[in-house]
Amino acid sequence: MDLDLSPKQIAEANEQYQRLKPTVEVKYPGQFIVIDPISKEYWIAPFLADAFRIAKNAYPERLFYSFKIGSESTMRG
Amino acid sequence: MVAIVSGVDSENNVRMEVELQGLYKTVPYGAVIDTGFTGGLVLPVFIAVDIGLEKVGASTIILADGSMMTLPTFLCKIKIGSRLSDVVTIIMGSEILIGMEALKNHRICISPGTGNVVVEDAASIEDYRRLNESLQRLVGDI
Repeated sequence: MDLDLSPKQIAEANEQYQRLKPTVEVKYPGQFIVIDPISKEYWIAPFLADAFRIAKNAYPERLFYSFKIGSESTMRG
Repeated sequence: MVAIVSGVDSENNVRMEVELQGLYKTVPYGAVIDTGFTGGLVLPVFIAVDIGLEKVGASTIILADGSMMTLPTFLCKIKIGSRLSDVVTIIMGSEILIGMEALKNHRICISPGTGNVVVEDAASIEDYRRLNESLQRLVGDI
C-alpha cells in the first residue's frame, strides 16, 4: 500500500526526531510524537490517535510521521 | 451504562461488539480483542475500502515475528458501548482486531473456562463508585 510520504520526507522526519530526542525522551517518555516533515512542527500526546488528530487539525491536507518516544517502533502487533 | 456484547468464540478468540464509523459508512462488528497489539485497530483492506478511512501518515510497527515495517496510518472512529473515539488504524490481514489503545477507557474481565467476557466503560464504573460513596455518606455508612 502506498505510504504517500516520500523516503525523503520520512528521512527528514527522522532527522527532526533525532534533534528532539535528547529533550523529549526526558520530558515525555512513552508518549507519542507526530512530526510534519514539511514544517518540522511536532505534536506530542499520551495516545497516538490524539497526537495525529491534533496534527491533522493543524494541517488537514498533510501527512505526518510518528514515533513512540524512547521506543524502537511506534506500535507492536 | 450501555451493555457491551462480548464473549469467547468457538476458536477461543475474545470478541466484542464495536461500531466502526468510517468516512462513507458505519458498520457494527464483533471484533477480536488483541492485547498483543499496542495500536488501536487493524482492518482488512476490503473493510477499510468499504467504510473509508482518514489517512494521517505513516508509522513503524514491529510484528510478532520480530520484523519491522513502515505502514500507512489512518484514523477511524470506533464506538464501544456509548463511547465514541478516534483510533489509529492500520490495514493488514483478514480480521478486525481491537488493540490496547482502543481499549484505554475500558475494563475487561475474561473467564476462558466459561466463555464469559465482561467489558465495561471505566469512566462509568468510576461514576458509579463515586455516586455510591456519596449515597453512603448521606445515609451515614462512612
